[in-house]
Amino acid sequence: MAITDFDNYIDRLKENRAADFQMAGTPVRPGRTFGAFDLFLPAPGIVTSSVALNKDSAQAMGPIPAINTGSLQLLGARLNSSGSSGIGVILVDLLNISAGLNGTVTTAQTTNLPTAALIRYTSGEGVMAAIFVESQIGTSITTFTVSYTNQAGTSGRISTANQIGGTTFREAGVFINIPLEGSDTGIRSVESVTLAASTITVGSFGVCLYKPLAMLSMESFTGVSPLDMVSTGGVIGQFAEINPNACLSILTIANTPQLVSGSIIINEV
Amino acid sequence: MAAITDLSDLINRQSGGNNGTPENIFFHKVPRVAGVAATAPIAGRGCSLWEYDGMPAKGAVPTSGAIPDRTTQGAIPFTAPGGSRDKHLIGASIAPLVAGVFLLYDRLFHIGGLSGIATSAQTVQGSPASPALTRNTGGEGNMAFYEIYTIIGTTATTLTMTYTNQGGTSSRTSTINIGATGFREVTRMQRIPLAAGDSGIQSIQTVQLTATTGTVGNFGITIAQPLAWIPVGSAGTMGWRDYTTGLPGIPVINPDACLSLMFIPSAATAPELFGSLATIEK
Repeated sequence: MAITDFDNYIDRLKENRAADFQMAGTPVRPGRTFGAFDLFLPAPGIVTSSVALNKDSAQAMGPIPAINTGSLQLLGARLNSSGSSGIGVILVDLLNISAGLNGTVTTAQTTNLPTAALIRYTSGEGVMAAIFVESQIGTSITTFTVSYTNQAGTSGRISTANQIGGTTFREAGVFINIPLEGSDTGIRSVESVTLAASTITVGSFGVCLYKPLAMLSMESFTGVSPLDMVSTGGVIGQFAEINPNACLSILTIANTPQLVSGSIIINEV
Repeated sequence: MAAITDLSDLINRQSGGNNGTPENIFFHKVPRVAGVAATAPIAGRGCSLWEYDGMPAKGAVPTSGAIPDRTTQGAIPFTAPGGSRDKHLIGASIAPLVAGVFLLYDRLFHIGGLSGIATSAQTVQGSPASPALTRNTGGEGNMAFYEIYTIIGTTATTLTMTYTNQGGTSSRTSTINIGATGFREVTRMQRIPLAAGDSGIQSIQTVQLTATTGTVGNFGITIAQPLAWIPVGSAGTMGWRDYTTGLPGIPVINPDACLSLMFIPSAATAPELFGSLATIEK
C-alpha cells in the first residue's frame, strides 16, 4: 500500500494517530548522542539483564496504532523542547538491551551476552549497535572493542576501538556507537565487550541494538517543532515504514541540555 | 532519466507506491582512524572522512589508481535501483558534534602512494587515462582533491596538476599549494582549482611538485562528483537538506556510486556524526 497523492496524505494526517512520549529529566551531557528513552516518563528503570524490546516496553513511546493489511508509516511529528537551541532527534526502533557490564574489568565481558535474538530486522542488515551507559562509569579514558556477528551471520567480527570512560563518555544515558569491521553493513548480535583498561569506576553499561528510522530536526527558537513530510523540511526518512511491534523511541543530539516531549504521527497506509 | 512528475508522484513513491522503493540510508562516523584518535582537522579547511571508522568502516588507502564503487569498503552502502529506474536523493541530514559543512560526493577515482619529495611528474591516470572514469565520464562538475594519507613535509611548495577538462581538451594545468602546517597532515583534503574557463575533469594525467616538501609521506589524488552540501550551524544539532523544496533539486545517484564524505569544520575538532540519506526510485 502507498499514499496515492497529496490529498490522500492530508486525509491520513487528519486521522491524527500518534505515539506520544515525554521525558522526566534533562540529559546531563549535551553534545553527545543520548539515549533519551532512559529519561522517558514513566521511567523505564535500569536494565540489569538481556531484554528484547517491543511496543509494550517501557522504553517505547505509544500507543502504536493497530493496523490491518497495510503498513505503518511516519507521517509527521509534533515536538517540543525545554530550551531554544537545536536538537537532532533520531527516531529508532530499539531492538534489545543487554546490561550489567563493569567499567573496571579488562577481560572479555559476557554478562547478559550475547544480545537477545532479534525479532525484527532479524538478519541484522542496517542494524546498528551502541554502548549504552546505565549508571555512571569512571573518569579514566580508555577504549573498547566488541565481538559481534554481522548481517551475514559471520561471528567473531571485531569492532575497531572506540572511546569509553572520561567526560561525556561515562554518564548515564550516553550512547556510544560501535564502529564496524570491514565491509559489514549491520549487526545481528554482540557476543562480548572488552575494555582496554579500567575506567576506574564499576558503574554499569551495556549494549543496545537498534534500527534507525528517520532523523528529525528541532531548530525553532520557540522550542516547538511541528514537522510534516512534504512542506516543513527537517525530516529525513519521510514516510519511513515502522514495524507494528516496534519499540519506537528516540536518541537525541543537542547542543545544550534539553528535554524533549511530543508525539510522532504515524498511520496505516 | 525519468523526472519526478509532481508532489503527488513524490509522495506516492516515498510511501512505497509505483516501484518507488524508498530507501533510508543511515551511517555514523567516530573521530578515529583504525581505532586511533583521528588527527584534528583545521577550521575552514577540508578534511576527508574516507578513513574514519564507523558504519561504514574506514576505506583503505589506495595503493594505485582505482575506480571505487558502492561495494568498496568505506563507501556508504545502498541498494542499486532496479528495473532501469534512477535513484533520486530526496533528502540528507547529518548531526555532528562539530559545526561545519559536509560534502556528500561520489568518489569517482582515487590513487595513493604519491611522494612528498619527488619533483618529477608523478602519474595519476596517465595518457590515455588508466583507469578511466566509469561514472560522470563527461567530467562536467567533477572536482579534484589531494588527500594526505601519511604526513608529508614541513616545506611549502606548489603542486601542478595536468588534466583533461570537461571538453576533452588535454594538457590543461592548474596549481595549488601543498606541504607545511595545515597542508601536510593526515586526512587533509584540499581542492585543486581548475584552469580558467574549465568546469570539470575527465581525467588527470600527472601531478608534479615544484620542490620537495622534505618528507616522503603518502598523498593521493581523488576525483569527486559533488552531490550535496550539508551545512550544520552549531555543534550538536542536525543539518539537513530537503531536495523536494530546496536547491539543487533532487540529485540522481549513480547506481554504482561510491558515496563518501568530506568535512569543512568550523573548529579544529575531529567530528563524530550520525547521518541519513533518503532516496526513491523512478
